[in-house]
Amino acid sequence: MSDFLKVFRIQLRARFSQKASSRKERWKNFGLGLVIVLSLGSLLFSWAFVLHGLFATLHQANMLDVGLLSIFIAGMLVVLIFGVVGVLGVLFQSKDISFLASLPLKQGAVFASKFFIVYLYELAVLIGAVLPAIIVYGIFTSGGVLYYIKATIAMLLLPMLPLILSTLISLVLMRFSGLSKRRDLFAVVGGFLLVIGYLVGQQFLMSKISTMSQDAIIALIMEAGSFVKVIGRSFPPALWAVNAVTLSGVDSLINWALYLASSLAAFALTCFIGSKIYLSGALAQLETAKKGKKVHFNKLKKKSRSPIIAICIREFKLILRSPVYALNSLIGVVLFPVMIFIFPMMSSTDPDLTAIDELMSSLPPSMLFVGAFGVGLVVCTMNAAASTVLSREGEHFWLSKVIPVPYRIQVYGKLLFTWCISAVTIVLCLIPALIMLPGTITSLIPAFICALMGAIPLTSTSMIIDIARPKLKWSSETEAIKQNLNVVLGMFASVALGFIFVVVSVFLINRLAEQLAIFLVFVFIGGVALVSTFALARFADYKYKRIEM
Amino acid sequence: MLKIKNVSKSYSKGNVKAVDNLNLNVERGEIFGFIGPNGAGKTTTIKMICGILPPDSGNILIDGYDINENPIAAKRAIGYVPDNHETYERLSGIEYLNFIADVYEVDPDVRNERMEKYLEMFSIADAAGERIKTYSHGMKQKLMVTAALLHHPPLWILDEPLTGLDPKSSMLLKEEMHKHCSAGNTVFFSTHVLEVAERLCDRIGIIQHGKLIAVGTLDELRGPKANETLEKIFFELTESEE
Repeated sequence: MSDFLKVFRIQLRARFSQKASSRKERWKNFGLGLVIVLSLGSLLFSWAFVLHGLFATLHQANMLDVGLLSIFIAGMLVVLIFGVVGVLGVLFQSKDISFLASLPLKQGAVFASKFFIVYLYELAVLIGAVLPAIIVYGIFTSGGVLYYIKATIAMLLLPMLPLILSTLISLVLMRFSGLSKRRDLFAVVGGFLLVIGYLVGQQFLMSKISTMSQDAIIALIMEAGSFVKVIGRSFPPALWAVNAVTLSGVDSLINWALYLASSLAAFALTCFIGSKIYLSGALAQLETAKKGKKVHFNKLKKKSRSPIIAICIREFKLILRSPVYALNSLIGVVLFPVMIFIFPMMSSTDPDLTAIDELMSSLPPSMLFVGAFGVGLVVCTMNAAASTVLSREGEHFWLSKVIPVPYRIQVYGKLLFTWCISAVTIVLCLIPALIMLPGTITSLIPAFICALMGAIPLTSTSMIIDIARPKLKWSSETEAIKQNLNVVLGMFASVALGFIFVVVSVFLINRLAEQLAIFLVFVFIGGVALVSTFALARFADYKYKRIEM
Repeated sequence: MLKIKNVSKSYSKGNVKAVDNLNLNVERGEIFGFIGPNGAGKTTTIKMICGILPPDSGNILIDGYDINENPIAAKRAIGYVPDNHETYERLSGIEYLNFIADVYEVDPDVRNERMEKYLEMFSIADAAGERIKTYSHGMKQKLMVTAALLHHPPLWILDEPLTGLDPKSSMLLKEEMHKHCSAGNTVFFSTHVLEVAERLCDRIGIIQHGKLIAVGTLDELRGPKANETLEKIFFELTESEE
């Protein structure tokens, strides 16, 4: 067996093999699996439903290929962004690097095996996004067996090129971070800059297209196939993949050749580079400091902190200093404010936003309130810090059991921390909104206050899920957060709870005077926040002492 | 100071009995050594004493407080040094110590004085500002010892404390264990190094297959064979129990 297969097999076993020791546990796993399948199934069904509507419109304009291409490109871009996080975690931050480095294995084999572990993670996400599009496209074009075989092969290879790009970026990042004393900070800032750079770059490209005249765009759209080329130009392999799947005969073969050759060539090149520089970058992350930082005890702080604040600050330090945790948990803090508000500002050809402000101000305040409240809640649903609050402790969990701090107080500290992340995101969304749309201030402020309060039950619920089934055994931080079903379950629970809040708000606003309705929404959310905090504390007291390690 | 009454603990749904009806009293001012072969139940017992694992049955009293009934008061009386040193590696040594001092509510002046004393004593003061992940195994062990002593615990529990320590640090740790007991506190530690147990402990308990097979002073364990080493006694006892 080759070195690659040996390492790949052992990594697969370490990450994915799980044995249920009793019948009860098997039933529990089955029930959980069912919940996940149903939750994911409903999400995929909704996605397929949206795609069906979109593809129906494109079908009428004879532009179905544009739909498939857009989904392929979107999927590849997701892999490109989140691949960096996965690569940093699995290739550079996992616990087994020094162990593997000590074995008589080829550097390239270790690199390739870890690359394919990330590949599997990214493929799982990508299948969820792309498979419904393939099926919907197949329905509209009455695709036969050959179409589905070709589409499946193209889909399975889809993460290759973007992940290679992510890997090359990470290799360079880690090579340089090895020179820096603050390696983790370097990786965190570098990762966020990449995400922002990608978003700004994409927006820049889109604004270029929007400068085309209306007639030119219509002419482009009407000319079959040319619009596909324009979009595909931004990432040719996606175009080759779509053409390989949708065309037939020689055209299809040529595109297959281009797609496969580019993927294989890029993979071979990356393996070559990885086999030369991977371990030096990875091992640089483990190097000890050359020179100690002297502590002056007479200058140390003279005030002690309460356990809640001490735990909250500890959590902040731990998450901000881990590139994997920071990029996965705080991505929403960066993405949402940029996506929701800064983009419309950048893409607008008319920088004067007075008209939009007037339009928004003319809407009924109640509608604005519900909309802003909903947006505020949505930004809280992606709080992975809450749904991995205990899992991240891993082997350190012994300390939480030993310290003389009641478990409920410990989770209050953690709740404060996770709520702060949601609150920062909400406030970062609110500030540009108030600057851009000052006329809406009377609706936005109460909506965001309610959202800040609504963030408490949303994060509490995610925390309860993680406390109920913490994943404390992991070999890399990536495993603790990306291979943790609690993140998905927490997101579903948050979405469901947020949906209920919005429905209750709409119900009250439709039946009562506006001010009274908003006040009652405030009271209702406040009540739920209190109950959820109490439930979290009780559950922590019950569950913590039963967790064995 | 430490009373263990009829404590049992099983793993794998009761198939593996890790600790079997254990009874033990450790008095104030004692250094108690807990020895036994690998897998005998030493770490499981220590984890139950510290509140990391709940016992299936029985009671554990620390300074009069039941660890399950009154865990906070009981935990306040304990300073624990684990055997694996798994801790928050992205914190610096000083941040970790300050966190521990905060949760044990140690007065800032007292904590600074103790941190300086122990960190200087173990020669890791220069590394205290660095992240723990850059520490060697021995440095982590010294940091754990410092953290456990910050609140001056009446019961100091150490799981295999000498593993990974250099000779000088081992000697300092043993001296500190003596000093801690001289101040009226108790030290309970597990070890594989029988010579250390022989020289350091006031009393020794030997555990095998989860059962306490012998307990007493070295002389009591020797019985009529006055010149026998602890190593010989240990092998005689554990092999006769096989």
